[in-house]
Amino acid sequence: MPRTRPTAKELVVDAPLEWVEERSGFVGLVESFLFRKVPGDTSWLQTLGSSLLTVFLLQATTGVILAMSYHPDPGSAYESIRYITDQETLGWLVRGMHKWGSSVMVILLFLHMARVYVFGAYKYPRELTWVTGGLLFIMVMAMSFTGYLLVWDQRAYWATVVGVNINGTGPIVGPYLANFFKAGPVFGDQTLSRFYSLHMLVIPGGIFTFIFIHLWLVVRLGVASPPWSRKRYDEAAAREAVESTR
Amino acid sequence: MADTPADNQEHGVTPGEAAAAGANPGSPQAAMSRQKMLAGATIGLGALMSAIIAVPVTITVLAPSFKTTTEYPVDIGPTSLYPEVGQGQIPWHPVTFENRPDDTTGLARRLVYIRNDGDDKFTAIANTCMHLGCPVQANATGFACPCHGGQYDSQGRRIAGPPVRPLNRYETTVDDNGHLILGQLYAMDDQLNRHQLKGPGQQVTGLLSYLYPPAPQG
Repeated sequence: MPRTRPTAKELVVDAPLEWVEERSGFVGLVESFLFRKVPGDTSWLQTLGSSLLTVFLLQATTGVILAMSYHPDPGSAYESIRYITDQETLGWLVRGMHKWGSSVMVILLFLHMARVYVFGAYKYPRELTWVTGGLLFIMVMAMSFTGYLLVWDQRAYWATVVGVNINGTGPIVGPYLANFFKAGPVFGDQTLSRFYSLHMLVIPGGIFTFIFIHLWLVVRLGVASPPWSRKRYDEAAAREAVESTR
Repeated sequence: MADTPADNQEHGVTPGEAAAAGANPGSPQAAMSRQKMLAGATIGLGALMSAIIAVPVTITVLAPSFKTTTEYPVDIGPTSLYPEVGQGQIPWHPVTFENRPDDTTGLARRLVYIRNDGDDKFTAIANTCMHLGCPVQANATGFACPCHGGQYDSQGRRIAGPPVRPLNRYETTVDDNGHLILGQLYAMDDQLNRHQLKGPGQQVTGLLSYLYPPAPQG
């Protein structure tokens, strides 16, 4: 049979993908994620989780850009942000997206959590998904708290004083927790550095880890149908379905 | 590939284990103890490496929570700067000062309200609201906090709003040159007794005061 010339698509797209897939299995992994089965009656409300992931990736990316110009030093923090906003090319846009993105993220977070609750999608076997989601909730709130101080203007400073003192009113551990945030007994330049490290490194590390676990669980357990679905939730049937795969 | 007796001698099987393994050193019993040793060594080494990383890091991160503040006696100028104020006027002189020397960040700036009580006696009330730490402002009846609406009387006692105790005070002394010196910061209760300093929002008297350790003061 005569050999036909390969098409452009086969050369440029299929062959490289096949090369990678043969050596690593990555392409198959991504395909199993993107083309996985979801219920036919999936609602638009169930896109909130993906929206949240998108906004988080936006925050992470804009955050990296901001970190290239931001100075976490009490003497120059505010000035560095002024530089980003006024002088850096599209700096106003990157900073604006980061600032407004954080509000968008918190709103979507609450909507996503409410959606999961109202749909009963936290029930067996998705309890662990709900727990990791709860931890992600706390971490996103911590990101908002630590990021707010980095502007280092009067509002940021005093809002953080109040926020840290709220932590201080917790019983027994409270004052030590407040001192942990302040990086000492009083607000100082160590406080800004600590908040910056928490905001840039510690909490994002936690968020990336738990998003990975959360998504792993969602893909493994499948998407739950809405409560108005013809398929009613039946715990016994769900247990049997999970048992049969073990 | 069979284990020869020479191999096992090199890997350090004890005579007891060799005996327990029977005459054949390649037996499952000998292999089991080597396996256990290697597994234990791996976990132990892993734990050691994790501890070498984690312990110093944790101590560095948590140590500042237990540090004490260094109090500096602060000279805020001659007492002639703070005259007695007549009736019908706000008696407080707001004074800004740095409570840590050589501070370049501006974060050591504090504000204290000084009232001349006559006879070279002064009252120095700190401007930190005892609800959550916002700066209070002096007014005709005492002090007011703009953040959450806390109200204090002219002695710093709470009369309205969410603060949990009266405003903190500084010790005041007049030195030989006639300068007013601010000393240690301390907390007050409603009977205007002195207590050890605690953070805003933390009670100093009553059952809830047991929930809060005093602030570390040098």
